[in-house]
Amino acid sequence: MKILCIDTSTRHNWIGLYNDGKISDSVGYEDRQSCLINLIPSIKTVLDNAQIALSGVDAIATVIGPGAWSSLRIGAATVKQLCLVKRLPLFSISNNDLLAEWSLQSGFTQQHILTAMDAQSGKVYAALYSFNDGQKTRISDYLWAAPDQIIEIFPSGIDDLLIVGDGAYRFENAVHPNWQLNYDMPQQDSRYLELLGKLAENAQPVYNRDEILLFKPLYIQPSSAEVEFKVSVT
Amino acid sequence: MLILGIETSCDDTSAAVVEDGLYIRSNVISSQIKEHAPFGGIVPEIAARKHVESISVIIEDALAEAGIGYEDLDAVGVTARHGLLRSIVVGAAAAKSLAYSLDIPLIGVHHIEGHIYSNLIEHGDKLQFPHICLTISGGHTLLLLVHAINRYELIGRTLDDAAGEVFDKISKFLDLGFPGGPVIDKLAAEGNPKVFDFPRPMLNSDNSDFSFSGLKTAVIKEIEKLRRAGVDIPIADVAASFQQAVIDVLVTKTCRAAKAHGLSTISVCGGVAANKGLRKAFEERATKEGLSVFYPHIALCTDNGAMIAGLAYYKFQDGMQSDLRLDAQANAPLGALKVQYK
Repeated sequence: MKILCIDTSTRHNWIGLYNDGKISDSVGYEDRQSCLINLIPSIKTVLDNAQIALSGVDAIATVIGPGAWSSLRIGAATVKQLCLVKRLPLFSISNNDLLAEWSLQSGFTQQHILTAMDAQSGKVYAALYSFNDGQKTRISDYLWAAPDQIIEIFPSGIDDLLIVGDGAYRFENAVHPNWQLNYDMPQQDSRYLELLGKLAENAQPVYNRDEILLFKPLYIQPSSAEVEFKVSVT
Repeated sequence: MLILGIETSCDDTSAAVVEDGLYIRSNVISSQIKEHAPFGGIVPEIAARKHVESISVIIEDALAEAGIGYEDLDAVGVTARHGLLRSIVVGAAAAKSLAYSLDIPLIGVHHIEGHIYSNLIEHGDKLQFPHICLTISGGHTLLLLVHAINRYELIGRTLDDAAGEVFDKISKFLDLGFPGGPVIDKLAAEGNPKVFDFPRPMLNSDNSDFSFSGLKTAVIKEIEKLRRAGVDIPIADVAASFQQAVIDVLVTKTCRAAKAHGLSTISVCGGVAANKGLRKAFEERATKEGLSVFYPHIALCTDNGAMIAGLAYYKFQDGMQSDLRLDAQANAPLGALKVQYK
């Protein structure tokens, strides 16, 4: 199965072709400001290098967010239009879920994982997961909050915890003796993109055509105007 | 040749199919007014989020209304320059996806040039070159000498607020809602424009520039004075007097510029060109002074995909094509003469 994998959710944008269990071709670039310039040419490069046409792809998989707003939007507008034109299935996963799955597959054995991605201004994008018998369950909402606010809403009795992601350092002063911090952000590792492809390969078709039409990023964080006016329109 | 035009430079998401640059097969516009109304103006981040939600829906609506499918498109045109950057990139990303997946040409165009072209869609060859073009909206107020499409000379511009922006701000101050242009225009029709003698900024200056912030301040001060005095504000009269001040300046300076350049043709475009009071004033002045004034249909005054598709056709015929690395720019020079208007 050939899956075009696209992650524009972080500073490191990454496009790769998942082909029979591996990323066979990939292109990455660092500057999220240039996402609009680079995304389609990168997709073209990946597919040209693999010597297949877009119509030869079986599905598109993408990271829905949270993360860098503009590049997420460029990614979302791009993948949904490609899927609609070529009638391709679309698979998407949140950054938090993918990072938690990555941690699980990387051999961490804690019963709980808090994914924490830096959201600037002292806050993180976070979600709490529990692991039992190799199965992960998200046990919190997706959060956009400061570390102390997040810890406040923890269920009691969590002491076997891994905090993972580039926002983990924000928990340094609040950390429980048994908690482990892992600052890795594996988005630059091609195996991370491979995991995206693998999850997509094993997923049931996620979106129907109408849902692809309305596909949008997962922001979690409201716009500053909505916060200021206490009005929610997005 | 069927071109899909995509326009997302501000708060309207629009897509249109135009045949051979002139025949509008569809022109679908999704307004975000409701979403921005609670904030009294356009919030760029919200605009961008709404564009992502609706862009593909609007594109498919435009295709359906035109009675065609993706595979019937010959090219895609998109606003890539001038506007809110966060908004432009959404339309540009969708356009690039279409160009790549359908293997058709991509043509990135300038938003303001799209507005200028809207009069050509409406009037075709009747609109002769060269002529004077007043392009007015919430984001810009420019007076241009149009030698041809792609060849513009800047004659005048606003030195501060755009004309449409002042309508929005006065409307907000009077709690009349957003956007301000249509509501003030409607109220002005019921009011007396002579009740308040608001200033006509730069009316007699020896250039063709505009300034509206002083007028805005004068109107706000007058309203505050009435409020302090506990007097009921005659809103229709305020609206009429304010609007008349804006109209007097726009019409007088545009007609004066036409005469100064020995031209008898004027085109007016952009969102404020939909203002009924402005159109009436231009018609009266034009008749009196032997000038011809052109404006597009109301549906082509607001931001729309049809003007982008039409312009893209023209550019494509002229040999222009963008590559897939097309970038978006919030401000960019206009036309071959690289007019700097900011």
